[in-house]
Amino acid sequence: MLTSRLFASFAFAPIVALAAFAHAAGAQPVRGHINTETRQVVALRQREETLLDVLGKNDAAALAGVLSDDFAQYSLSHDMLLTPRADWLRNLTAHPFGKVRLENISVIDHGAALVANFDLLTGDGKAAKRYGVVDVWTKPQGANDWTLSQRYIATPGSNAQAPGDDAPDTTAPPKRI
Amino acid sequence: MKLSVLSFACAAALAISGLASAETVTRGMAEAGMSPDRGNHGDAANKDPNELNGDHVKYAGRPGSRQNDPIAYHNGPILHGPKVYYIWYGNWTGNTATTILTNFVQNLGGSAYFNINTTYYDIVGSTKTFYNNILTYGGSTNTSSSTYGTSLSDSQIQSVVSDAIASASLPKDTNAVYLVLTSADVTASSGFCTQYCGWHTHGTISGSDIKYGFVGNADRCPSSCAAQSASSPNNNIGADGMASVIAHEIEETVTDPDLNGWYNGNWENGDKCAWTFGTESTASNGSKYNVTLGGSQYLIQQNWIAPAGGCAMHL
Repeated sequence: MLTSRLFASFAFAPIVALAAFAHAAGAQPVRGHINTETRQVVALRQREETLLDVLGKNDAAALAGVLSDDFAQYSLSHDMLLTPRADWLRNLTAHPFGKVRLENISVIDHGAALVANFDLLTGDGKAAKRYGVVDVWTKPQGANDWTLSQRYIATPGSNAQAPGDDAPDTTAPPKRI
Repeated sequence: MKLSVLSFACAAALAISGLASAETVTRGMAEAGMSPDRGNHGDAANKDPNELNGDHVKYAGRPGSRQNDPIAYHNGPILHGPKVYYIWYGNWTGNTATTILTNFVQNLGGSAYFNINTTYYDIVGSTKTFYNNILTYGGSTNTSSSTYGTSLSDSQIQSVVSDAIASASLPKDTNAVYLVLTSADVTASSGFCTQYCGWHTHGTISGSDIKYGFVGNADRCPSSCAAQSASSPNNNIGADGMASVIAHEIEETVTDPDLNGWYNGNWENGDKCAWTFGTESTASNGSKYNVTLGGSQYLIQQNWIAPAGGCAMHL
């Protein structure tokens, strides 16, 4: 399993890096441009929506259709900390997303993989947080739809815990004994 | 070792991306006078029903409101009887797109498809005026890619329009849509093919409020910007893909030219029906189409019937 994850990381690293750099380098549209999103952006927006829907329903069968068996999240704010699928799900159950919004979605089609790059916004007001996310979606042999294989997530400007992370939340206040 | 090197590379890349992204988005919104959760139209009264509180929440689509919510009028003007001008940017020599897309826009106005836009109106003073399904092709001009190169920024796209007007290649017309159509060797640096296939906006050009847009050649990325990538009704996958995006941008510009007309959240009429095509027929070459204009077949997206009529292909 670890080997396959290492391989997967290696295989998609250039893609992820490219996607990330593409996002960073691409100038934001000037004020008021109303974009016609690409087919892939629309499609992956729907898949991300399905994933969040399924996460809230505790439906293992439905989850299997959208989250791959060897899914892992890599926390880029914690030295590429790997959180395996089971831990990620458990962490999300303990600390749910709350309010969620995805912004600035871009998708690069690599044939066997769709790489989505977006801002994940959770909470609102003072509790609002913004994460940079790169999701790698693959289509298992014989499957009709894309499943999320890897998530790379960063907390810009801090090393705070990202949703689903195994990392400690260093922004949390110290425990009082 | 491999992993640690890789980790560093990816971490750096994503961290940079995330930081840059967050910063530019915030700055862009601040410049636009928007709060981060209001989207481009900035409708303060329009709370986002997509944002749900709970253990796990539904994904929130575009900021504002749901895609299938009614579209609302925000008191701005619409375009009545506008013209459409094409600016062919780059190398279009020998490409049948110039014929295919000219025929398309020449026959779009007055069609049963474009008649959907007659459900939209504006109110000036106390006068409510519905759109009249008049749309005229005003002509075109060509701009070589030697002018601004093959990777256009948003501001360069505005300059392409500005140059065409300043040089009198096209008339200055505030009741018009200027579309910059780029050839397959040209891209737009703010996200063509990865984020968008086209866009529309308005800006001050030669002292007037000019409505303009960008539509890139879908040949650059058929899986992203063409409805069908194996064959197409006019045997030109790029141009046939562009036709649908052109329809999208024109119907949005007609009903929301200054971005204060018709929308809900950040969804304009075209956005609400993007990449949906209704009932399709099969052309002689096996490709799909859903409308015939000027004797040619096209597969174009549906449009939204205001205010809550849903997506349709004709009215």
